[in-house]
Amino acid sequence: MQIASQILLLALPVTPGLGALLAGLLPSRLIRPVRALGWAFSIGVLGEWVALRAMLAGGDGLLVSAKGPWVAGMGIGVHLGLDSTGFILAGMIAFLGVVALVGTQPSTPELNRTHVVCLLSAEAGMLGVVASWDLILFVAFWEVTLLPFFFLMGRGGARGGVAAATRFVITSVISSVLMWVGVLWLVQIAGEPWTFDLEELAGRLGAAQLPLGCFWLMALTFLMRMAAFGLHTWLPEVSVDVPTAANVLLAGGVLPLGGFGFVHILQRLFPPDLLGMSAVFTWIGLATALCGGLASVVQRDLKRLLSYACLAQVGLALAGLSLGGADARQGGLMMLVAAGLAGAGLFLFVGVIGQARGSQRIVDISGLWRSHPAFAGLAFGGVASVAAMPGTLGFVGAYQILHSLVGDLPGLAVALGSILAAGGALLWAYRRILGGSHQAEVWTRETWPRRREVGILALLTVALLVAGLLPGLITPSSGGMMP
Amino acid sequence: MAGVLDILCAWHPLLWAVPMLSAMGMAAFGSRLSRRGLSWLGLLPLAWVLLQAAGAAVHLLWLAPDSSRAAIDVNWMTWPLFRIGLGLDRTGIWGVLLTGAATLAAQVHALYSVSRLSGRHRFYALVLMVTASASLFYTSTSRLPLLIGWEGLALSIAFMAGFWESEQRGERVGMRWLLFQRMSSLLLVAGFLAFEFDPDLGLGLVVAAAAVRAGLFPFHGWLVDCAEAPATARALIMGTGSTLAAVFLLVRFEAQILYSPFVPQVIGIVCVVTIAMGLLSGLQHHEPFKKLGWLFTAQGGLVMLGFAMGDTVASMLLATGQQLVLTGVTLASGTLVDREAAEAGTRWRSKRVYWVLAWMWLLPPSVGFVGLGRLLGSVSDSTLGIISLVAIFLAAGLGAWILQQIARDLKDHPTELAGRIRPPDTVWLDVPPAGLAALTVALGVLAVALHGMQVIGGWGGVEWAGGVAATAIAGGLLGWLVGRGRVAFRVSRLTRAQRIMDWLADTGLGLGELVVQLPVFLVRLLGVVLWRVVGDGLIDTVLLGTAVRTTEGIGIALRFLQNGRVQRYGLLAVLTCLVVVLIMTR
Repeated sequence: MQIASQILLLALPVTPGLGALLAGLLPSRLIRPVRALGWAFSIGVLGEWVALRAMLAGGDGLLVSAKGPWVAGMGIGVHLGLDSTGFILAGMIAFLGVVALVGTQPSTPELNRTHVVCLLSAEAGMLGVVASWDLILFVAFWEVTLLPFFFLMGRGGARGGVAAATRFVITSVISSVLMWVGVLWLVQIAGEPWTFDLEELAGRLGAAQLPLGCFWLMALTFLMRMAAFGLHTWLPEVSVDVPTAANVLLAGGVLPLGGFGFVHILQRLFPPDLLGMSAVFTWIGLATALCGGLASVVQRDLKRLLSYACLAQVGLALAGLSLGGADARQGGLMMLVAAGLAGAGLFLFVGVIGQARGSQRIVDISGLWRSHPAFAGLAFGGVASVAAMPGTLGFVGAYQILHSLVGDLPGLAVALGSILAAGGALLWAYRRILGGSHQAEVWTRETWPRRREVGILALLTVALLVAGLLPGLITPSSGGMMP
Repeated sequence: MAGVLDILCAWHPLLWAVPMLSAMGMAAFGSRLSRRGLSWLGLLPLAWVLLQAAGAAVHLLWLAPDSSRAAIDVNWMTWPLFRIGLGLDRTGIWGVLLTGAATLAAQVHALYSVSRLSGRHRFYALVLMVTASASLFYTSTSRLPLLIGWEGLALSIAFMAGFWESEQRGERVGMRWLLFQRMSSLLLVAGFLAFEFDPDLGLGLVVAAAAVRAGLFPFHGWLVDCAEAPATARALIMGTGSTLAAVFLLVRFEAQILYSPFVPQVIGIVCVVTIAMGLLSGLQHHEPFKKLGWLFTAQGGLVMLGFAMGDTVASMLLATGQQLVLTGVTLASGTLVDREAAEAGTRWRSKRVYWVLAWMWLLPPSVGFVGLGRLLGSVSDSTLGIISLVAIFLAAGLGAWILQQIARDLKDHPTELAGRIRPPDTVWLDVPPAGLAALTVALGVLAVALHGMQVIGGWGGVEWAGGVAATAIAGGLLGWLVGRGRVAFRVSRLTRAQRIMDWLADTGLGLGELVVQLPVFLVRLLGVVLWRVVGDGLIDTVLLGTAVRTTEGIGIALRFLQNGRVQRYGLLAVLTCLVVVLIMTR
């Protein structure tokens, strides 16, 4: 059983990478075979995660691990593993990989192979990040996600796509550089023999006096990736002009990975209260949430509104992860998953109607209640989750975070305000595009949505609602997710 | 028989599951159903809910009177902080029965009034969802299903409110309700959280949530806007969705409210101000449906006074009467407008139904009369008690006056939908309001029969209630006489009084708008500041822009330095400087 679980663990990042390689080798004119290959590999990854879920018993610490030497002289090894946090995020990424591949398609058929290769590569990179317990591997996989996103965003055909892709890559490269410096500094502090293994580093660094500079280098990396307040401006600008598939993985993979890194690396290597600055990070998170909520109220472009709403959720998640206490961290994790699933679903929804209408502006879209009631109705799951309505996963995360903020009235007020603002803005936009008259002649796409788009959106909505009522289903352990 | 009733009690989740599944089926397949199929699918689940609730009521009231809860509670631990607890007690049955009656009446009305409009099956589905949400809310024994029901009720009605309106109007009508109810939901969540560290604060937040839901001053602004909704949505907002749900919520916290030193006083003051503001505004020259909205605001304040007087049963009885009567009045008034081109005989029938209902509000033996007697019997001798007494009499007298004005103005008032609806000439449009009138009387008689005169506050309560009823009759009569021109006022006195009342009403309306517009304005201002000033301006242009421009500048400078001529001149300049320095230092 242990060997089987280790094989599945190794297969998680390898399978989509292999799929990308095979798809890249196929001629680009074979549109259907390439797409089928992509679907098969992405569904295969999800199947591997489900099989792993069935095998793992749950508990604290590493649930499954595989370790081997690589560059022994420099302390670099191949150490893959999943704790409960990583397991949940791996599942979400595997699921969203299917969503992105099955639910979206490139703007032109010629880009089909690039689309599949980039999505699978990005998925491989993200799964590798989640499963890495060696810092070199972690950074390597972190970098691996950049290239596919650059091509996914830049070759989407949207005006401004290249600029958005460039901005995203520059932001990510800066965060990677910071992380490189921080990692090397930490390894140097840990002393000889050099090791980049996360478990060993955590053991060695335990009681050591860690310099603040090193801490902030690492922290800034993850804050940039999470688009925390002050470092958030890249997200809305990037979200507007990129293809739907990139939006799906941005909301569902890139942002939550920042939160994962925060928990997996930062909270593991530094003392539990983050060198006495957990309150600072809590307030950074709350400020992010409030900024996202308030800014979303004044948006008139659907994608920009969604990006700010995602920002609000991610900010709340950061606040929860920083607060301390098992409930708050669980709430933060639930919030990250909710943000990923809801964001992916809503970006998919907006992408489809934006393509069909030829516009993403709220004023240009109306009457969906009459023309496409099922498709529009399914999107309500995501809207309800962002608004933290009871019965959804967003409510589970929000309630746990709010519960942990009890006693800190200003924090509680800010958190509630951000939920009200972001939820209110999204509800307003949703209501606006649902109601009114439907003018068929202004819609550029004749038959929409495709059945698979409806199916994927339905899956996401069901996931949000089921996880909202049965959150225990998505985690192998009911206890803490602390490292 | 007892076994059957016991089973009905035990299977109480069907109270919300049946209408919910029916709503899904209606939404998915309703477009393919015939009119008869729509009727069956729209009415049978509601009839089931009523029957099951009635059976459970019989079981809990007569067969098992000592049990305050049904035989089975469903407790399902899904997560440490959450518990899905469902149960059925007398209060829950009361709520389910009233909601079932109101939604059944509204659905019957909708089946005829909107039968020619496209997408009507989704409208019927929303009515079913209102029932499902309300049933879940009333049968909840833990936070999660209570919140789901509270939220579901608001959402369903929000989508009904602007269903066939244009984008702008539907957006305003539905969105105001939705945003206010979102605020009330978050206040409720905050209240639950606050209970753990500060029970007084928690109670205050829960009461605030109920006040927003009931449309009490200063959160009354949305209520008047909702008067623009279709008749069915309007009826459900005013009947089921607002005051009834708020009263039920506060009944669940009855013990904490009654023992709190300040909450009853705050509720009393807010209710009195709400009554005054609602009556003053309702007397002004508005469209009839807005007058109805203002009247409802005032009556909501009257209903909630029971909590201020320490008698929750009075509030429940008044809420029962208000819900049934106002639902019926709203349906009947909608019919009157929609039938502007109908036969005179048909209008006569609808108008009589309207008047029967309007008078049933406070005349014996209606349940509203019973509740009023009980409330008046609970009024204390304190200053607040005396003010409340005055407010109750005013609510009755001026309320009747307003109802009279509404009936007179309805015939001249077109609605956006009136031209499109043209309902068929059928008695079924008048049956639901008439049925609600009959139910109002039946419940009043039943209350007295079951509990005797104590339920009406003894003979003292009967006398007081009789006085209020007489005031209502006088007010209605006066309104009729003024409307007909049989009573003339001197122009100058009327103008001055009218001016004062206009100013007071405008202030009240303005305050209600202020509560809505000011926070929205501040939020939008902050949003623009964060987006444009902080995000685009400070971070992107100043901070990042400076870094990017500096990098660009360095790159340009380096490119410049690669120019051969620049290098030669630069070298020459450096050599010259060196020579000068050497000469000077020698």
